[in-house]
Amino acid sequence: MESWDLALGDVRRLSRGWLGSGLAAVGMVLWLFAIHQANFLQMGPLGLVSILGWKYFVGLGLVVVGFSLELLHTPLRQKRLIFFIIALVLILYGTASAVEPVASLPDSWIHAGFVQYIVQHGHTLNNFDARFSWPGAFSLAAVLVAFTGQVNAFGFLRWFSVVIELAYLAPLLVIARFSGVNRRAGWLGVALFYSTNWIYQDYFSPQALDYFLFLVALAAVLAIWRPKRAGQLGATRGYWWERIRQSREVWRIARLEGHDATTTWGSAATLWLLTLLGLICLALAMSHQLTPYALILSLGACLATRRLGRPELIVVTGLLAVGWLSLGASNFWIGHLSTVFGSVGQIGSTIGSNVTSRVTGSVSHLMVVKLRILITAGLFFLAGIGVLRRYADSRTLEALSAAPFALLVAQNYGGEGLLRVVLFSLPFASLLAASAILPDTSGTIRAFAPKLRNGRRGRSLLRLAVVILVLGFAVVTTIVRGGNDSYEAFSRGELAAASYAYDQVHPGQIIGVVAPFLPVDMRDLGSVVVYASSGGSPFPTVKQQGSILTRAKPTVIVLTQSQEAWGELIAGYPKGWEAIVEVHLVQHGYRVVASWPTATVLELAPSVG
Amino acid sequence: MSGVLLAGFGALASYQIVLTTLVACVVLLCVRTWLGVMGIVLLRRVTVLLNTSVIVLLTLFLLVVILRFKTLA
Repeated sequence: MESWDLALGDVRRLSRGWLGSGLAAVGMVLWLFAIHQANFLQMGPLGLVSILGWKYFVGLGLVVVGFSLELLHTPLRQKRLIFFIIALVLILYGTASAVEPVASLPDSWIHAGFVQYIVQHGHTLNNFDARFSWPGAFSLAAVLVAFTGQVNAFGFLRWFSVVIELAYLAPLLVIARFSGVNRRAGWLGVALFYSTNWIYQDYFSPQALDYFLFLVALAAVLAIWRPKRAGQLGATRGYWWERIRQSREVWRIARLEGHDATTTWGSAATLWLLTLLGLICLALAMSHQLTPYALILSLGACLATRRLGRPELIVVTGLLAVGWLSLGASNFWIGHLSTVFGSVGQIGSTIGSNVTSRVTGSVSHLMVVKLRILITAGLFFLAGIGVLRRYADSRTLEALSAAPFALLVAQNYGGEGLLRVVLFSLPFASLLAASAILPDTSGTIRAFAPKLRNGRRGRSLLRLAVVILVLGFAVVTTIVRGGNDSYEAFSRGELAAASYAYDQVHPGQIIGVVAPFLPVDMRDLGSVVVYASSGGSPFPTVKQQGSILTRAKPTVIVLTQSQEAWGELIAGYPKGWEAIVEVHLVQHGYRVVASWPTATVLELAPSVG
Repeated sequence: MSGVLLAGFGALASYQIVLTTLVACVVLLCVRTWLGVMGIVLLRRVTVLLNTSVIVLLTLFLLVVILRFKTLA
């Protein structure tokens, strides 16, 4: 009998130990079924989520429940937690890649076109596009294309999001480990980062690579330097005075020279790492317009909160960024300097162009946009609670979360500034949000809010809170991340139609489209022009679309399902509006030369041309 | 850098000037970092000289960059 009891106890222990992993495994199997059964061609106005069945959400839920069980398991098994995070990344970022037949987002195809131009010509194309003035990442991609024996970068596009998101995991784990939060909060912070990163800057682009370098640089800085121990704050008497006194320390010369940070690293190792960081800053300066400045602000935040011992790093990053803008990117700003400095200090209009101008379109699109605002506000609200609840040795996370917002003073970044700023802030805000649930309870800086006692069911409630938060954010991210996919994701037919159009035209001729939502500019950059009839604002009427196109006289015109969806969701056109445009084009000298179930190519009849 | 280059005020906006000040600044900052990380303590006069040089070069760099923006834009 005793031996039976022992065996039963072993089984219980074993099942408790492996329950989380088992749930995650079942969840992954369900996810595989979900992506296998999803039919891209049936995608509705809500985008990706409209073709994902219940298996996707149950699978995602099981992985999150498993993560929650593992996160609060004693002892903490960190090696297992990595697999849960990888599973979460695969589900949230791999679903679109697995379901959609070709890479989504027109920009990723344009970037592939940039890379192909460098592969073919060995240099960039001057005065073509602002992005070509920061060619570092494109050049690296061109080297990789040549190294792998490819003729273009198309093969890199489809799965790029998953690969780069998985690459972010390493620096994120280092940041979580050295940011000053406890281990469990660190893991939860990483899970929250992935479950709230709807911003979709991880497609094949320089900003995706630069974001990785940004994370690596900050992870290295946080790993090297720790804050020198400040005096413990008094318990009650003079508490606020002591806080104010400590805040004033930020402006001391010693703090600004990095003397308030300390390291246990040897001088040789520190020098090597600083050399690597210098090279990273150089790569950042040559690859992207915004990321180097975000890094400067973040490094400044580290210096002010005693987590950076060498202020020279900030100055060198600034020198390289401004130096490249002045010298390497002169093609971009000569003739239109107002693009660079025109929005300095105009915070109101920057936020207006970043938020209010996006809240337009059909009911389904409006819902997606509002959910995006809600999820971002929710995370930052939770981060605010984390700030109130956590004890800490330095307020680095708070400073790193806030610092990127200073970018809005200088640039609206074509209406995308706020999105980018939130992205730069996200890893640190996620850790603060995790501290709202699992706060540190010791540190030289006391929490603003009193400690809450965990009751008898404290651990179960914590598990429940983790599941609700991570799953809630992950479900919303699934909806909003793929919310534009009905017009930003493409079928094989659309890609074939675009390629066919390029085969029909000669250098100097024009390919016409209604809206730039199809894979174009992925080849023959600079020699073939792509003309979009809805380039201006406000959008022309359906009737005007046809006449604008016929006036421009493109050699071929490509009409596709994704453009049709764009017209219905964003421009407010009626269902089937592309057929009206097609009839107009046929009446004005165009003829259909090729068609696919999702695309049609029209060519200007020789007599008319 | 020739005398011809410095003959006109606008020539200060040339890429050679910007690049030279940029490289000089970065080199001095690298030296300052190396000294700090290795724990080498310099005479106070030398430290002041080094810091002053960095500040002067930084200011010069910013000036020539602004001049370049004004001249070429």
